[in-house]
Amino acid sequence: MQHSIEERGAALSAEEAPKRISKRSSKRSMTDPISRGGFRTSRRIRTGPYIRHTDQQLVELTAHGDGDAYNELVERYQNAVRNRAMGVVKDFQAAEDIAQEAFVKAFKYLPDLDDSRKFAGWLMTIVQHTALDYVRAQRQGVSLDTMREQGYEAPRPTHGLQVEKLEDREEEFQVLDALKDLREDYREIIILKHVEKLSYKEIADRLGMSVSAVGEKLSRVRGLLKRKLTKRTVPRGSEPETHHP
Amino acid sequence: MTAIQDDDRELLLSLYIDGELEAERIPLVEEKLRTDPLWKSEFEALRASEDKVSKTVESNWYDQEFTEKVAERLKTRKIQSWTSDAPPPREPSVLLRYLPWAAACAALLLFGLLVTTWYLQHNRKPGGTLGATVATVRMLDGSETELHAGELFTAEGAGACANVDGTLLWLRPGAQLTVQGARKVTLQNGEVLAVVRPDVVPFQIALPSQATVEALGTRFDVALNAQGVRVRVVEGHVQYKDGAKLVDLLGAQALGTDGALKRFDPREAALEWKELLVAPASNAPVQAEHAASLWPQVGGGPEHNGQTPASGPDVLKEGRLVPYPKVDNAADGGQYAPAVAGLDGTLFVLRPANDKSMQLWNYDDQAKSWTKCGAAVSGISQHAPVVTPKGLVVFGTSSGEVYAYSPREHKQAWQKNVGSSVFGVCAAYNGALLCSTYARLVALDAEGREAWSFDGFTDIQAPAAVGPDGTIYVASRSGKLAALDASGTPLRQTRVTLGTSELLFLPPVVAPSGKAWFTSTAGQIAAWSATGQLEPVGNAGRVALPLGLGVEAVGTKLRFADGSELDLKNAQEPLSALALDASGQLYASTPGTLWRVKLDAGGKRSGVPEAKPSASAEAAVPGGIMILPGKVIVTTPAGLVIHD
Repeated sequence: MQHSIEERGAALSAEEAPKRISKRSSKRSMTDPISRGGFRTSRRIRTGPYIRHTDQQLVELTAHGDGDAYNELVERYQNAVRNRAMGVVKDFQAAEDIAQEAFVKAFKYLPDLDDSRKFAGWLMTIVQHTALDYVRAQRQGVSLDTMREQGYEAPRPTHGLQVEKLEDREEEFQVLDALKDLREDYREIIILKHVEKLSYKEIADRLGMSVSAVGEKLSRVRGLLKRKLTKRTVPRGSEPETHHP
Repeated sequence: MTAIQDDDRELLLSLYIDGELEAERIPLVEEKLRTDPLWKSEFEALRASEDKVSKTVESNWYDQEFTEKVAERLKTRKIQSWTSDAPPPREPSVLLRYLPWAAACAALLLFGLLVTTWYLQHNRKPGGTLGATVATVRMLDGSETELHAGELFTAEGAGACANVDGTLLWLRPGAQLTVQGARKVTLQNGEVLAVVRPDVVPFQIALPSQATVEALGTRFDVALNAQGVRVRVVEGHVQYKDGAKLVDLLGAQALGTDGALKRFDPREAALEWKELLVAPASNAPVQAEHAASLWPQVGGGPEHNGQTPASGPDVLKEGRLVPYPKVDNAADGGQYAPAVAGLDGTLFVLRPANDKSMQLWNYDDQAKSWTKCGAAVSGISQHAPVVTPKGLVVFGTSSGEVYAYSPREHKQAWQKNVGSSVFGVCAAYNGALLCSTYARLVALDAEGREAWSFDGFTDIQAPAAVGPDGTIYVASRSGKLAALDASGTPLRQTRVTLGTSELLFLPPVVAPSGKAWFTSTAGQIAAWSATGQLEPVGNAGRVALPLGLGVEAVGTKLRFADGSELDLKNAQEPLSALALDASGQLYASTPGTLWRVKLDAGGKRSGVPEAKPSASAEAAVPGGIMILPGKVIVTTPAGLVIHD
């Protein structure tokens, strides 16, 4: 049974009893923005000009007024900072807020950082303390020991993150360079595949494409990247052997 | 069968790599890969490139909105506290440079919203608004239905799975819901399991009473019946609101129909929803992933709480023996470790190739064939491999190497040296692979990177186990016990007094209550409660696995929760393996026989025990009973014995 717009609209009234619909086989309209998910990802791949800079260089550039250098630090460490906050407060929204606040504090107190090579560990200490402050504020009168018994993590040492060794990352930079040269929609499909781990069907739903078009697009992107990345490797493992009992 | 063309090589290989190739074309592509060097080299090049891209992207993505929000806060607070001679920081955000444009866009949007509101107010039928398609529902018979805003849907037949803006809602038969919008549904009746996606946007399940259940990045189920509302959170964070009442629920917490907040074992949800989650007509890869993540060690197994998430056969039949594949240069025909099963039922066993290496084989019961899918180049392994939610099979060896193989691609995914002999790998709820090494317990992530390690003991020789709340239990050979949180931080430690030459070699078993059971080589069992109380339980007579329900094996006797015993008089040898299925059937193995005893919910025996020949006169490997839907599989030194 198909519903006209008016019928469907009428069914939306909160006071009215909802209508029962019959089971029917139909394909979704791929051009319908709601059926295809209704939003696009805000996730991006780091391909900015500061990608090869060390933390130390970025901190120094920030100290000399380069805001984009600090953006790079935010992009570089936001996942680690968010995860650390989440580990303490177990609340995604609060963790997101705490993570942003930690970056604000880090920016504010950056001149106090004695050794700019230790930015990552220092940042982790800030987020840990910010998160614990949040928890204490939420649970006034509850001791830290009790909080730990209830699952909150104790403060960690400050060496949780390793300083990036850029000399070991040349291959990674080559890939990032190749990704940077791609079209935006190609990068987006890579994000959906490798970051959001979506299946072809889910990518198709999100982008309003057919499943076969997703397959073809990913194949094109792969072909492009493969040609850009000239260094080849031989996969490990052995040929399959088969045995019938 | 459709032929394949060389012109389509890149596309077909791309689909093959992603596991999205139609089943009928897979053998054709695999044949090409075996026989055509061009296809093979192209595949290897694509694969290598894909590996690099995947690894790079996973470690280099960021959320642009996050960066913009940080910049906005800095701008709002005008933070410029630089003490050096340097000029004040420039505007740190790309967004801020475009703030005027953003403001203009916002104004336009607001205008559009006003116009739309005016239009709706003046043009709709009474009570109506636009009702666009907001969800697709897949019935378990494979058909699909579109849902529009405001329509009531009733799950019929075996149940259904609704995709509402990426969030998956599994509905039990009879469940009724109304989709209100992209991120909101109203549950009118019945039970729904929600897996919220994407995890950064709230998703709300409203109830007719005006109460709401709102979730972020989470898996939870809601049941609405005559008694009231029950909410159980498998993982993440859920907020229940009903008027002034506000309850925050975290993973492994439940809000009962009596309004009380209590703990619950997320595996209960896995057991209860398993049939819908792995229904053959459903979207298998997505659902299998979720099913697996509810159950840390795929295939279940007595390593965790003695209970498996599937039910065995309705009628117990004689077993059939599946001999192991012949391995060249094999040191002996022995079998060290139990087999495990992947989500699709594929069985995996480790076989000794010689006295210094192992091979990983899988068995396809439909094709009746064994396939070698990996090998350890050095060291032996005496524990079951673990299958991760992504389908990787992971095991460690005495050489200190941990290997991860992708059976589908016949390829090693990664290899990691953890420093000393590995005595077992176990999967935690968060996907961490817990490797028991002699010197420490090492947690690896899904890519084989070390996440943390616990080095409180220096003589670990048993796999770790994970409790219902995610607590990790590990024992040292000499009787030291530790409970760790998911990040490896010790929560509590104690020590069991062991007799001379008595050692702890077996993995702990954790009951739904959080009580952990430890069994020594002499059969002594100790129970360690979640509150830290240590109590001796008794002597099992010989190495045997206790069960979370309180059932123990003592020689040829089974001892039940109420203290009663059942002597399997025909058993000539002590029991060596036990398993409990989802329907309460207890399986026990003795050489040549598989026993089955029905238990009630409290762990007491009910009914008459059954016994069936097991087609192998050899004793089962300890812990070697695995239950898959409709079948029981016993690992013995002679081969796998399948009762189905």
